[in-house]
Amino acid sequence: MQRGLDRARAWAHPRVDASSLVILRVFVGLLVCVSALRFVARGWVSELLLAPSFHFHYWGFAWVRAPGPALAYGLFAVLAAASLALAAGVRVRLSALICWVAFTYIELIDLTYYLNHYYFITCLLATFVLLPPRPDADGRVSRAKLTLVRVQVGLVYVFAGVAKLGSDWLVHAQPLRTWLAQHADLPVVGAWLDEAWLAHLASWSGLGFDLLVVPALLWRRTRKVAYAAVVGFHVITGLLFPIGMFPWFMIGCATIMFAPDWPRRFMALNLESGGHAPTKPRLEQALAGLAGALLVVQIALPWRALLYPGSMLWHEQGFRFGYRVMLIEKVGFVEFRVHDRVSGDRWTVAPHAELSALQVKMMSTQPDLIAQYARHLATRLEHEMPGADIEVRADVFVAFNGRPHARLIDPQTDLAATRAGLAAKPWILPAPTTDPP
Amino acid sequence: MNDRSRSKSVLVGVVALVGLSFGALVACPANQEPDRRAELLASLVEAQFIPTLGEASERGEALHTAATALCSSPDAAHLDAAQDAWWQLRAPWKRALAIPLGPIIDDGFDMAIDFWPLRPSSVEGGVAAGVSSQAELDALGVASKGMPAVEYLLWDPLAGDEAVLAALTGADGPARCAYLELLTADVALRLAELDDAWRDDYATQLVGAGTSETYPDLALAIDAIVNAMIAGLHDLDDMKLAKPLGLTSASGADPELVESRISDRSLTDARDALAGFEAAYLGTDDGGLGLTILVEQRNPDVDAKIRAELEAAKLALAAVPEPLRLAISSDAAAVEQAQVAIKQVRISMTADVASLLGVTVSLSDNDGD
Repeated sequence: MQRGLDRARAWAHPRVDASSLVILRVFVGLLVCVSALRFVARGWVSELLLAPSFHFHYWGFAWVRAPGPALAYGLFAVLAAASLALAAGVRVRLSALICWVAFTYIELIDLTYYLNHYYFITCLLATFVLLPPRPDADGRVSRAKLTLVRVQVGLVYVFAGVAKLGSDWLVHAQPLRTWLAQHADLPVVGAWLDEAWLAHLASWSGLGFDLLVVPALLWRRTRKVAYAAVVGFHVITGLLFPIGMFPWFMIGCATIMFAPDWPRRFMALNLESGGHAPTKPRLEQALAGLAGALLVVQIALPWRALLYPGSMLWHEQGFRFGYRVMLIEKVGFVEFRVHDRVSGDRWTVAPHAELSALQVKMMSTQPDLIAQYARHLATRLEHEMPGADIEVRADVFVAFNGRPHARLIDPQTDLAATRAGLAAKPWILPAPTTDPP
Repeated sequence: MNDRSRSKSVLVGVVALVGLSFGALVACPANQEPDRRAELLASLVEAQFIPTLGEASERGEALHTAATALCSSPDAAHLDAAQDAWWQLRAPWKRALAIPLGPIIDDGFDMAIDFWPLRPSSVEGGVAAGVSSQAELDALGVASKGMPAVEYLLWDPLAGDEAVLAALTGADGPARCAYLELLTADVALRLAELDDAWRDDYATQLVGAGTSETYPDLALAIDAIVNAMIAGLHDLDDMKLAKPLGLTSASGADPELVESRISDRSLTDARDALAGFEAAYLGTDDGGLGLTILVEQRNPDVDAKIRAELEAAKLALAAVPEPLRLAISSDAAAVEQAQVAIKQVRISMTADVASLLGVTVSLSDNDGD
């Protein structure tokens, strides 16, 4: 045991150039700033955060409240300023901390806006708080720090690859077959995008890319080709699919796999050679340990999906926080049936009256969100109709990856009586057994 | 082999692989079915949407002419003619409204022309105020005007046509007639503006999808069409049938929520709306294309299902006894059966067709990964 620890310490101890970490910090800071400004410029603060009268909360985070207009815009201003400070290297740990708090708070407001890359940015910013991406007094950083950040970035690709190891992706080329066909009108390549073989080629290439790109970027001999593939892959997916800032983040973050001194060699940059001397080495060690623990949690979380029976693509239990990127084309229809046990009245409720189109769209395929809204609906109606005792059932029909629609939820279950939690939800019906076309 | 020559070999290998892939791409025979989306959009616009709106605009003019004639000679024959003109206008209008798309929704023409549910007090308020100019009418809310207001002035379901004529010739007859003429002129004007908005701009945006400003790619235009078809079905099954039936609230059936209840055109309205959907899905007898060509290409089973469900919806709607305002109480089961059958088409459009065509309900690049 002691021998193993000694060997680990010996491996982690060597000092490496800090400049690749500094460049990563600049990329991330600038892109978070652009994301914040873009969110405001596109009117999403008003549309997504302020307008809805109901927000879906994360399990355990019901206490997070949506901000008012002043606080909402203020948060984005703070996020933009702190991310610029982070990029510029001003009070790196404090800037990263402010960024992380603001970004995470915004993310926690509404579960329907969950995105894998937002989760990634939250974790990366947390890593920056624990392991500030700046040189130490000698202008270098420990190999351990660089490695932990590399693992943080590499996780995205590895888990995105592992998630693709399923028959929908590999055998039926879904959902790429559906998505690529949408672009059949593109000049030159368009005619091929409707071809089944191309969807299969793209699916298998995507799998190979995700699984191999991290070692290929780390290995000097394949690095240039691998990075060209990173740029090509993300630019193409960014152009074809509505995935926002994700491609640009990954193109920037993948550079952390390069040799630590690449900015000095390729860009002739002499970055922050005079650095920060840790004043509390034990505290820094503890924080590095926390960063390691954060990685362990991220590595463990995706596997929880195996604890739930049935198709994860269908029931989505254990789906989030797993870097399962672009795996499902899923559309749903949802309508709630309300029954007042006291008066005996029955009626239906379409959620559009209270929720935004995006909230309805995201809720209509995710059972935990449907149950959460059913519970809210019962509470709201019981408040509006004193003395009422409300049951809420749902008619939910979902089609995924080209299959015909099927019921997602047992229509007899009173969802208002269900409890939020991590236990398997027995009221989710089995996935359709038909294969995609 | 040294590092440099190894790197060179890797590079040559990659270039060769890319070259082979490109060669395979170019050499591979294009045996896929053609992308018919642009053809569909052009056909929907040119063979359906524009002619339907043109027809509505012409019939709007005819209604105004008939209303003017009625006010010049308020007799049974002219009342019949005005009622007939209103009835005839509803057909193309309901077909157009079945695909609520572009200016119909974006510029508020749906509300300005066909505010629902009718509010008799708002119409009587317009009459009592002695509104006699377009400027005065413009100042009123949408509940005081539009086709339902015209319907209210042309029919009396309880006392009959004699009561309508008596009202038009009675003490407040001149004010009533002036308001009627103003309303029909306004409906004709709005329909002409809507027709122009389509012809001058929106049709070009749709037909030019892929390069147009509104629809820079074809997928966005197909999204808009499919979403509009779903919205039209939602309006029909949920707003026009489920609500009056009392299925969407605890307050029970409410005949005042029945569309066109004054003229008892409610079920014909519903059939026209379903016909509008049917034409957009199946195409028209004179060769106009429908969404079916895309759905059938992707999955014939889904296409067959939509066709079967549409047929079932038409049959269920035909089985509802006239008039709807009474049927919601006397034969609620038949009305509910029709509502459920139409909703089934909406479910299949929302889930199966949208999934098949990769349609998103609300496209935003704040989602996707």
